[in-house]
Amino acid sequence: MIAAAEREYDAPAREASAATVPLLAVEDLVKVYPAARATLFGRRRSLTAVAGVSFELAAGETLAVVGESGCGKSTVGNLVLNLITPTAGRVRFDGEDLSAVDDARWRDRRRDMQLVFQDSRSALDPRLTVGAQVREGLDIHGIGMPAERRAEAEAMLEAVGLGGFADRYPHALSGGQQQRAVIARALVVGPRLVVCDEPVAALDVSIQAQVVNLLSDLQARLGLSYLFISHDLSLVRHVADRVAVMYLGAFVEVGTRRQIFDDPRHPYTRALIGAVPVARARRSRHGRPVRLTGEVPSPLTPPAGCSVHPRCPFATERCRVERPAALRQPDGRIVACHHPETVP
Amino acid sequence: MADTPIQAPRRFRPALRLPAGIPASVAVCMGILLLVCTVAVFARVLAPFAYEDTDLLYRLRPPFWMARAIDSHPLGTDKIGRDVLSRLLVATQVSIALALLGTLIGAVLGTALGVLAAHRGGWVDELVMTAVDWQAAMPFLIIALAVLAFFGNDFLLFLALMALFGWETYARLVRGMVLSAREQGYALAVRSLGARPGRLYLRHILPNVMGPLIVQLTLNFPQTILLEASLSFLGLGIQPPLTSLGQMLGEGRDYLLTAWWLAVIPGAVIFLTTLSMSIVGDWLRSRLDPTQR
Amino acid sequence: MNLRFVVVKALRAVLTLWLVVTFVFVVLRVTGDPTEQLLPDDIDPGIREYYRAAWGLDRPLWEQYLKYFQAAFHGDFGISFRNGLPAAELIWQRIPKTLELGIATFVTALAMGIPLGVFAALNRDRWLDRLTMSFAVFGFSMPNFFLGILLILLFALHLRVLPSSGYGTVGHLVMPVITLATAFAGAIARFTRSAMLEVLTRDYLRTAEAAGAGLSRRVWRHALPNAAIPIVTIVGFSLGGMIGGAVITENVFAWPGVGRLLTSAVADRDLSIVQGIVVLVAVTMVLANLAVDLAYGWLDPRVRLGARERSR
Repeated sequence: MIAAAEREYDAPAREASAATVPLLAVEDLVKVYPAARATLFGRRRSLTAVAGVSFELAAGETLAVVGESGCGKSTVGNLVLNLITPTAGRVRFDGEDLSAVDDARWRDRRRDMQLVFQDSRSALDPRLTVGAQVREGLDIHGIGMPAERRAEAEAMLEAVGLGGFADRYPHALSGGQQQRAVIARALVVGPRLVVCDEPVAALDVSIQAQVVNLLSDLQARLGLSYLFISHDLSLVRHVADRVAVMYLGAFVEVGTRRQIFDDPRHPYTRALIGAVPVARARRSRHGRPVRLTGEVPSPLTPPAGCSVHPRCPFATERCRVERPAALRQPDGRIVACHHPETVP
Repeated sequence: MADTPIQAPRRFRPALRLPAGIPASVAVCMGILLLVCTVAVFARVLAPFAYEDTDLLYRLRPPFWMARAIDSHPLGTDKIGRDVLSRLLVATQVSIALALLGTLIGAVLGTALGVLAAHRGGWVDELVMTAVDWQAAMPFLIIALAVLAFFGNDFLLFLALMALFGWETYARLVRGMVLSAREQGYALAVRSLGARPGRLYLRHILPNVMGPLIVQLTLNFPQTILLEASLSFLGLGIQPPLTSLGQMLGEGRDYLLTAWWLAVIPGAVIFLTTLSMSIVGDWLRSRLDPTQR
Repeated sequence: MNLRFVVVKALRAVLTLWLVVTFVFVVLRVTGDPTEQLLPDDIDPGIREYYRAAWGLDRPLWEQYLKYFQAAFHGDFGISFRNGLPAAELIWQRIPKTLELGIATFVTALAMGIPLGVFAALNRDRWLDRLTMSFAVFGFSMPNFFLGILLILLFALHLRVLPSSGYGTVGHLVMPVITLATAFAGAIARFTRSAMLEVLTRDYLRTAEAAGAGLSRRVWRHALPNAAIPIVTIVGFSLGGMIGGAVITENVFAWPGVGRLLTSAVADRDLSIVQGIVVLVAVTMVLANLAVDLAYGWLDPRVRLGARERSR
């Protein structure tokens, strides 16, 4: 086990707060980008990448955010870590409102919140050894005595299955090994929350399982919380405790893994789940899977009313005009649809 | 580890590794540069005479290949009997040292401003890039002449001019490279680890953009030599009793009819040095960037 | 080309000129009191005050600035203290001679550089190509003061076919033009070659070849017009280098142009003339850049305002 990752930060306070306050609470996060004018003297347009996203994440839990590419799920991850500045909304970590803190405090907080990302090849600096890069987090946050950091970095590499790789350069590693190194670099500072942004999307399928299992093992051993961003539903089914389904910058349905995969309510969720080949014939209790028509609209010109309505076979006049609120259902899930019960 | 090791991605190879296949012309140029640099370093040791010693009985002597008898001045003497070889060695030292120092200061200055512009963005970026455009638009020789006219000639000012020359090429280059390097995953990763900007730029981004920067240095260096030589040739640069290649050439042009070698010898040294540097620089650039032929 | 593009470019040009004039003003004030530089040290303080008042140096700084700006706008940079004539007049007399040299150089360089570049591209990697590129590198590295001296040694002193320096006949023009045009022609050849190489491999030229268009037609009718943009750019960018080169060349050959006036003014610290020439060069450069930008927009309809010129 790894000393750095196991370190407890004021353990009693953390335990006490865990019962009442979720580790991560996100309220109404919005990100709007200015876009180029369509014509020279035209109206200045904007692109809403994330349109009001709220969720909570408990300690030790995995929340998966799923959706098609371009729906804004990666932006959510970057907003949570403040790698992109939100246009509006709040991020609370362990009860602390991070939208109000300065850069120095953020740098300090980064030790608790880490990122594992998609393109592991570009995620590693080509000019530094793997060991130096894993060690870097310890240097930045002044964790441990300088003399011990090398050993600590090597122990972390050992824990991700890269023992003896400390003196290699990234280009001498395979894709799966690079991703393990990225994970080691993120975990060495002992974070409590890890945002995994498509952590295995760039890897071969055979290697994906290894890396996902590694992530699961590390979660169990270190009590990590994962915000797991992926477009791969079979993967999400494997790792997630809860699942948030995202479409055009907003969550359309949030529920437990069972609720989302076995009994999806929102038409978009049903279309998404229906598109995945499943081994066991577990179909929605609502009969046939939903088929969406048409293309995803451009975020530059989002549709009025419900964002799904142009493609939804069940859309009514109300869907065209009024944007549905995200409402909590009796079974605890949240659905943003006017007719979650009435659709066939 | 069941992962099969994959072929190392080419683009992450360290950019400057001298391969075996150096063309002969480039090798010759490297040899010339090595010789010039050695001369520049050991000029005062190698010089047979003190470069400023005059001997009025021994004026305008020809170099060895034109002299009838063996002479103690291999390259002859100038208008007041100073040993041309000794002057040439010291002049090379002064010219190379000045150009090298100026190039390096300019590179550091330009790099710093380029990083600053890319990092801060907004009005800082606008300001730096306006200065870049402005300096790029104005012929530097005119700027240098104006500065010398306004402030008078002074060695430190002259050095500052050498440093100011070309900074904008580094600033533009570095700004562009930093902007794209910052989009690389490792930059985001280092930031998300909680690193300060200084660490990100010095430890990660700058080492990754060093290759093109060094090429730019090799292209800028000969231009700086030419700038120094031009100003000194016009009599507005290095002032006597100190000498430089341009100054020797400027003095020698008055004796073209009687002692042409006084101008041709330093001129040839300038030409060979800048030519070699340009060829080596071009070669480096083509090695670094195969699309640019 | 749309109007907004032209207007923005023109505004930028005006802004640059304003910056240059302001910069010169600031530098002049930083360097000290002109009366101390121009009048003897032991002069009567009353006389000094008289001159300060006469030159407006007792006025507030902003008023001096406005006055200066107004005067600069009218081309008035004061009196040359060397011979007491207005600086503008002295500069004005020299301009035709420098223009003569510059135009001859431009024509020579283009007449040499473009055909060389085209033939080099058509004979890629053959001896003509190698020779052309060697010439380009040679021209780039050859200091023009040295080239000028070598020419004098060869043509004036050894062969005795050309006058070594001065102004007057066509013969006087030959060596300065060769000196200035060599580097420029090399750069143009180099850019023309790479622009042509890029264009020659494009589909529409292969289509033209397949359609039976002859070589000369393909080159002059299809390839060269499309290679024109990079060539125009390099011509625009070379102007700065040419102005610098002209200063030196005029000195080598005792050519009575603006460049020679500038170097002697710098040596004498005749600031009125230096200012005037700095502003003249700035105006020239700004107009040239504007012309390149507009030519760019005219040659390539894809150039729009959104594409920042900085990415070049």
